[in-house]
Amino acid sequence: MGRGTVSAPAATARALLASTTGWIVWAVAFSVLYGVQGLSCAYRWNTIGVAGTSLAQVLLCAIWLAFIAVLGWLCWRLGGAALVPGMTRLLRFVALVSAIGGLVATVWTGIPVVFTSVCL
Amino acid sequence: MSGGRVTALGLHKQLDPLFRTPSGWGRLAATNHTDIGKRFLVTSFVFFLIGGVLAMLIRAQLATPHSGFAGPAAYNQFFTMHGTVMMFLFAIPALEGLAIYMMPKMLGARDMAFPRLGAYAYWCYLSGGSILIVAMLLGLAPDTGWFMYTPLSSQPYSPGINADVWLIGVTFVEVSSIAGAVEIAVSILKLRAPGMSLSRMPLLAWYLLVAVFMILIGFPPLVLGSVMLEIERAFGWAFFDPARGGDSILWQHLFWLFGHPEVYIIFLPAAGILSTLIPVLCRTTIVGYGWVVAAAISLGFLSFGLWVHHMFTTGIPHMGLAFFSAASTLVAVPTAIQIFAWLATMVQGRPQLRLPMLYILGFFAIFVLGGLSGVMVAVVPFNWQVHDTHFIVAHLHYVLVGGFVFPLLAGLYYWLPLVSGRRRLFRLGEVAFWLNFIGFNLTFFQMHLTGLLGMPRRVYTYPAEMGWTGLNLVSSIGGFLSAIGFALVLVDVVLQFLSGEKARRNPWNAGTLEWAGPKPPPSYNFASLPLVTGRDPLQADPDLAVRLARGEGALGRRRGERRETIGVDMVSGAAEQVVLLPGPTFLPLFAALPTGAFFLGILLKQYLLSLAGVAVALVLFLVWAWNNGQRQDEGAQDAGAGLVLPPHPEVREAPGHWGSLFTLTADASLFGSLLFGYAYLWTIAPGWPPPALLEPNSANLALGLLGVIGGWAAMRRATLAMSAGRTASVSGTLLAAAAGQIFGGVMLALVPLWLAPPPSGHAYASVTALLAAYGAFHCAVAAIMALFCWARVKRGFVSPARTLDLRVTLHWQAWAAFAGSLALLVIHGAPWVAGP
Ligand code: HEM
Repeated sequence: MGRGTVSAPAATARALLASTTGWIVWAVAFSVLYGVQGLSCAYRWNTIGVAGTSLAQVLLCAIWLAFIAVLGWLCWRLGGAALVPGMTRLLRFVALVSAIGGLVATVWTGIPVVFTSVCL
Repeated sequence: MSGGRVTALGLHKQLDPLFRTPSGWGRLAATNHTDIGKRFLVTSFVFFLIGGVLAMLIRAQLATPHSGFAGPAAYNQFFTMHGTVMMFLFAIPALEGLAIYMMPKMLGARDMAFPRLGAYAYWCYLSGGSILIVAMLLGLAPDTGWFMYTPLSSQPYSPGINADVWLIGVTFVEVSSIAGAVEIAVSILKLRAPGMSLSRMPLLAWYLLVAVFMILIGFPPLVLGSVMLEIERAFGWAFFDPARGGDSILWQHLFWLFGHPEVYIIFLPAAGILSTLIPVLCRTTIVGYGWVVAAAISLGFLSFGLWVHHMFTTGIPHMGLAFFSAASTLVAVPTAIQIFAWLATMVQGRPQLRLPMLYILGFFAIFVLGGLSGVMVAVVPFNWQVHDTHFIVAHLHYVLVGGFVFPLLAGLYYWLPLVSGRRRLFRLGEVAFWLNFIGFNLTFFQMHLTGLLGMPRRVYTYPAEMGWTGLNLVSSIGGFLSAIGFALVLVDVVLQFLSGEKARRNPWNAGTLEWAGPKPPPSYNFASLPLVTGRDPLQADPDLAVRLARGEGALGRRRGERRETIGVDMVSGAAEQVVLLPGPTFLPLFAALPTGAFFLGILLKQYLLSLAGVAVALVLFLVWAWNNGQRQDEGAQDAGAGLVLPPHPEVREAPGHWGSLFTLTADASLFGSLLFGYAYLWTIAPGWPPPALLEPNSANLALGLLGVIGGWAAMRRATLAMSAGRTASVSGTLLAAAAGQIFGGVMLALVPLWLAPPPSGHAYASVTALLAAYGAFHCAVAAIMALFCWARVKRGFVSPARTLDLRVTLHWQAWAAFAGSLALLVIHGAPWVAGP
């Protein structure tokens, strides 16, 4: 450790980014859901009927499921990942917790799209 | 001056003059992190006392019904200033002071990455805070509550200068906090002892790292909100005025987008203190290091998903509320993980009931109660019942005092022997603890009850018939007990400095590096830097201190006037560069003065003064940047302990590179908030569509895009050419980069001046003008930086090996191109999409 090791800036940056990816995806999902909900009400997409419910709800559910799928894939990939150069065991652990945390948070904070009314 | 081995004393005599702060007036030129950190901490404590006096005034007023002590006007100033002082002038600066003082010592570095920036942050903090306090002494303090809700804080309802004082003073302090955050983030990531990988980093550093990134993302929304409100108040633009297409709720969004993360920004460093102290005081190591790190990062993210829970009563649709209610319950998970890690550590170890441990136990008791009342208010229907009552006052103090003040006091007593070099003589501290603990609970537990009985917060009195009298009296008595407690703490600390016996070298048997030197710490921290191989370097090698003092680590020598420390790879901690630090200089003070003139000019509506301030500050910042760097390539050199390293101007990953990127992170957060505001107003605010839209002008759009993107492309070309050694064309290309941005900036400036309707008519025109101004400002910055590079190239500061100036400018050119283009596209595109 330490002496003379050649540092690889790109690998370092990637390792740091990877350790927070799950949460970043959640943050994006959360913002998009909140934003689309706002837009739906502004443009009255909740009054357009689709498949027994409203366009707004269908759209929100689709977005929610899409983000869940992305995070599920991320968990699955990180779960079996080997240690790439620049990655340490700690960061890989943190990355996995982020991905699982992001997934659980997306499922949990997104549940309202199924059960609550969009614009009341 | 280099050469053969020297003794520990000899090495001290060489290094100390180099790093120490000069005496007399020279103190104003201090940049040394030990001095700056202490100044931050002492100043924040003074503000804490001021906030405390205000709290006592509040409690004096509420002690009895119909009290004649203060009228409503004075009371409004009391609680507004109390909240503002505690949150902005005490809590955040205290945590930054802790970081600035402690991080280099814990991480094995000789100073922070940007010592001058730290000094500048301090002067800005002091000046901004002083504006608020002086205004209060003149009876002009802000009086609309610490969150300054519009429309109450808008011009028609707060016509005086009071609200402006808040907006200006707080923004000034936030500039300081953001500057400090950049410095702290880079220092933690880059300036560590060789071998200290992220996995070996002390937990306090992890927590502070998360907290300062949260500052970088969380503070800009409030800066933006304050700028908007000040523009609305001073120039009559419309952002929050519903009569002209604005929306008061937008202020609440921007405020709480900052305000909720703020609570966690305060809590995380305190949790870092606990994670440091608990294992040491229990004579063991922390249980679940990785889990604690992951929990801190999770909290950092989740806390940004909670802001709307402060707005549950504003009529937001149920689905929106449910999102935030769900996120609010989720934060309990990482918080619980940390608490369990601490409890498990205590169970695994052999706890000693010394004074810091008393405060830790006090923390547990109080914070858990605060968490419970927090879960209660996260439930929407309950929230509706207790909204704006003293229940909320109780909850927020249980969280803030339990979650910040108690851990801070634990840390104070833990690290005091380090700072003073002495031990406590008397057992005053224990008495003070019990006064604080009992006094706190007496003060605030009642407030849950008065709140449930309906006592509103921020109301200056109450009638006797309400039945709140007894509870309030007890509460006030409790408040005065804690006041005595805090006074005793102060006396205790002063006595320790004056008369304590000399402390042992490592009085707590800690494993972290801050205890590896003489006490109080010398100006240079470490005579030579340790090579770290584990999480507790001192435990692994009890003789480390002696060997470092003898110069057996890295950089154990003086080379001329160079102040050196080591820069490492962020993840692995592998040594990568010798970072050359600037010495004492008056520049930070001199740059803070015109910054202050800028803010004062706005406050007093003397806009010429503001313009002059900007001009002088700009010149000083250019001088500041000019003093960096070197004019010849030196190549890798012997850094002792078997390391051969290049100086930082010759490596890609120099601290300045990251400093620039992190500053841009904050800038991007501000821009994102501005776009959010634009979209919010457009979709949600009443009074839209606006009476007049921008005149479509494809020439403005096309030429603007051409300018900003062309500027960036030229800058990129210049940077690549220089790196590849094709130096001949560089100067010309740099001038082209500047010209492109100037051109793009002019196109953006033309939008409000020529194409859009006047900004005071409707929120649409106001927010369009602000967007254009943001873009134009960044074009100007990018152009000035390109010209600066041109001069640097001419003077030989840049070479194929030394391209830092160019690469940093490239960041800002790229941002100007991105933000400028996006601003142009939104400005021209939105009316086209939504128009008739
Ligand atoms: C032991 C000392 C303290 C006492 C006795 C105290 C007392 C109070 C009281 C009674 C109020 C409510 C005033 C009202 O709504 O009518 C209040 C508000 C507040 N306090 Fe404290 N406080 C103390 C310490 C702190 C600390 C350490 C912090 C933060 C770190 C803090 C932050 C606040 C804030 C943010 C408010 C809300 C102000 C507003 O409504 O605008 N307090 N305090």
